[in-house]
Amino acid sequence: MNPGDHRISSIANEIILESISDGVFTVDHEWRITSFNRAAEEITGIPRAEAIGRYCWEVFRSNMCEGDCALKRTMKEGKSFVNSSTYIVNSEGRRIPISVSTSLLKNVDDRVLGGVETFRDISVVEELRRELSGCVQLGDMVSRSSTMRHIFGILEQVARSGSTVLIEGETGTGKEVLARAIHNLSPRHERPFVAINCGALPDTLLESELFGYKAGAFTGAERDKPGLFLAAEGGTLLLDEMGDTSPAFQVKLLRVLEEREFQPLGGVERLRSDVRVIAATNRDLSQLVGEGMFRRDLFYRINIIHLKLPPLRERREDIPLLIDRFVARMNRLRDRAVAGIDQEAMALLMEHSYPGNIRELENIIEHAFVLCGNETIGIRHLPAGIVLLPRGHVDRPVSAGEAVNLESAVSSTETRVILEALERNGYNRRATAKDLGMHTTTLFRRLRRLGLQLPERDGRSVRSPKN
Amino acid sequence: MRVAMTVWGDRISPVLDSARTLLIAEVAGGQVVDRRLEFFAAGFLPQLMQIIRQQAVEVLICGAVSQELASCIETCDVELVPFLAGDAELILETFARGQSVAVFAMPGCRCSGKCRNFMVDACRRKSDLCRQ
Repeated sequence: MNPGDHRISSIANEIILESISDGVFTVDHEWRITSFNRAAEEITGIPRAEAIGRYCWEVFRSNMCEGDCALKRTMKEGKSFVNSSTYIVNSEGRRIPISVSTSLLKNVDDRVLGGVETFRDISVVEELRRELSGCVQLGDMVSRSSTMRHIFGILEQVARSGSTVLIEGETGTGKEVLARAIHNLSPRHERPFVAINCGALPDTLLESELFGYKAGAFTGAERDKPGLFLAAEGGTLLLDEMGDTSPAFQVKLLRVLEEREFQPLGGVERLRSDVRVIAATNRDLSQLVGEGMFRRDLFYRINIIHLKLPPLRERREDIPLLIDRFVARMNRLRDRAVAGIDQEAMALLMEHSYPGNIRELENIIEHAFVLCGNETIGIRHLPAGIVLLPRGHVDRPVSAGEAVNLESAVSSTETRVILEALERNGYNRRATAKDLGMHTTTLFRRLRRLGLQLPERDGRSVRSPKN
Repeated sequence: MRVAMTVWGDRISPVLDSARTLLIAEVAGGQVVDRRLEFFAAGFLPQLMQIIRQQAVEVLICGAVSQELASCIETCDVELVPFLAGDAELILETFARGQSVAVFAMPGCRCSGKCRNFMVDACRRKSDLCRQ
């Protein structure tokens, strides 16, 4: 081999290292970084110029650095390690899950020059895994609002206490996410977390789901079926929509909570239960107690620790943060590169009242993702129901003590009905008017009166689905 | 003032999220007058937060930290001075004297105002400390 071949080989190596999507860095015997490729810059967020010469742990910042460094083991034992899973904290403070491989770095004379570490961003894989397992960490609930920060502040104490918790909050505020976070922070975190929507099931079905049944308990019960209390043994059981349960069921549940025992349907034996119960509801249970709709004794039994999740309209400072998270998550899940959201669209989303709370915001971003390609999300990508609502429009439940203006309530309903009809008919004004049983000119008059602006997209060329 | 720092040997622990030793120092009159170590299970947030609360820590100096953990720790009314690297004793003494700790910033620390979310606040606070 002549000297020229060495030069070409060195250049070729550099080109290869710069073109691959795995991060690669090398260290000398003093753990100082001697090379740092383009992908390493991207994954860590640290420019090569700042990385070279620094200790590897100051740049790589993995949770393995302090305790179980793969590169250290390689240097010590002289053998390679492949695909160890870990995470790093990048320059923006984001935890990036990665897989790491390490090996010795040797020269042509087989002399050890140091170590080489390659790492791959596996955020997508982890995201999918979490989606499949439904696993949630405290990290899934990020907030800047003082109410939420107060909840975060007491959460670990709540989790460790083992007491029954009552979570109240409107639909879509993240009651189940909070319940999972409590479970994950509790000593029960290695045992199951099981959730059931009590409001969705009739009494008998709910009882059989919760307590299980014995073979022959009813027609079709051919063999024993364990209930959720058994499935969640040692763990946590979330009873969602507790405010919608019947008085008869409430009596049975109270007995289980007090005696820590339950009886499967058709069984004669009572089974011991070691399950932490978290109750959640979107209704005001104390008010239901006052109205005689919810048992007072059960209320006191479950209301040991009371957490109230604020609706999104009361924590608007979280909207940009949540949008960022949803965009990043959908980028990962769908292999897209949407940069974010432009200022006009953000302003519109900041003004929206979110009757469906965080879930509604997530759906809005998902809707925008379908339409925006890889562009920044703009107003034209948002659902018509958001875009067409007049600024400051508030579509929310009226609370008991609030003065009700009949005229504004009628306008609000009228707006919603018209918007839904427009969307249903592809913004074809004529078809919309026909759908609503009014003349086109009446529709235009109403649109003007309600201050609704129609989108740039003109539906006149679109035939009504009914035509 | 009570200052805590996550340490790894004689250096700042590289990642707060996986740290296991907390150096708690009493700072008065521009110097460190007392110090002791507390140990906790790596990555077990409740234990770390419990120590911080019980010891009435006012400032926590650390290496890299995830946004999630930073948000949680700040609920304990603790001033977080994150993304520092280097000799723990040297940083602590520099901090105690009220001098700039900017020279100990980790690579990639973006104090130029381009950072986002908690990093903005953290870096701003750090910049304030740097100016003292």
